[in-house]
Amino acid sequence: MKSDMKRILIFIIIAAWSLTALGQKSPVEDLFDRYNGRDGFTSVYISSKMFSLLSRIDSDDEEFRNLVTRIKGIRILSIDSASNTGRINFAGELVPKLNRSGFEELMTVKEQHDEVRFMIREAGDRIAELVMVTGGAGSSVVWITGDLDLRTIASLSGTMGIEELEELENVEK
Amino acid sequence: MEQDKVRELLHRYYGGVTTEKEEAQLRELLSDPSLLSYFPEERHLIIMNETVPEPSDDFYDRLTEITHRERRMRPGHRLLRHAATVAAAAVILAASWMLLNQYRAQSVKDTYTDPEIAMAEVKSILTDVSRKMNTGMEELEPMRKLTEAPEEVGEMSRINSIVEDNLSKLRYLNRLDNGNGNN
Repeated sequence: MKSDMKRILIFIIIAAWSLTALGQKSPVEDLFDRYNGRDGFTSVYISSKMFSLLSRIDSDDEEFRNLVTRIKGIRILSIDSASNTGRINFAGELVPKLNRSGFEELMTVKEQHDEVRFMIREAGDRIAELVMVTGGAGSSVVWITGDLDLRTIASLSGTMGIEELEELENVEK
Repeated sequence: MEQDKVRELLHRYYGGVTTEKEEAQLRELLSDPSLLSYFPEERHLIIMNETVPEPSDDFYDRLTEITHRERRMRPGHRLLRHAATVAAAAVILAASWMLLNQYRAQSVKDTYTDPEIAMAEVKSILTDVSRKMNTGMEELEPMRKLTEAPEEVGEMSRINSIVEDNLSKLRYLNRLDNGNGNN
């Protein structure tokens, strides 16, 4: 009887621990949830469902199409330049937590007053998450998940022609 | 008179307040058949043994064995039971995980409903990421050249050895030339 009680207790503890572990959010997710919908912040979310739709759209650029099929989701969070949220620094808030959550720093780029950090999380031999944190006045976070190919992403800015960029400008207006 | 006495004792007996002496008196009174005829339903009191028998030595052991008997399962059944427990736990965890994911997915909604606009935004984001990534890569270009330098040095060394070989041939020719001069 006692051993049965002990077993049940152990099971409950393990189940509770597992559920707590499952319910724990990643630091990036936590950051997005904290600032999403607040005044002075802009967030963009493109889900895996939307990416599955995007992969069906005809595109001449095969490389870009392949890249899109491997992405599961993109989230962006940025501070509006006109807003009075000067004290918030995404890099300071997020980077130490990312370091503790299995992310590794890929590189840090300093551009004038801005500092851009690239953090990646590997799953096996593939890159599962890429976080680009921009510090400075226009602080922003870009979070890309999926089976990422950094070489293709890096080559994108070279392959994007002027025509395509103009097209983007038109759409954004 | 005796009937009243019996009634009084019965009342006390069923009230649970009789002494052993009173109980003995009650049994004695009821052992009279004429008196018992007035209380036929109390016959059991006469036949009731005065002393309660003591339980045998192993009575409590046998009782414990019966009431606390552990169900002994066959090894196969035990394994099946463990497997069922593990499966149930896995199902509960999987269901909880799915519910949690579903809840999270529902809590965040897509910014764009039009795939064309979403596609344009994705291109814009990825281009921005790519541009910033390449800025970092450009900074590493001099380092890359440095890493390539040893290869170039190796190539130079290979060329040098070819030149050395050819020069040694020239020296051989020079020796021949000297030989001819001597002749």
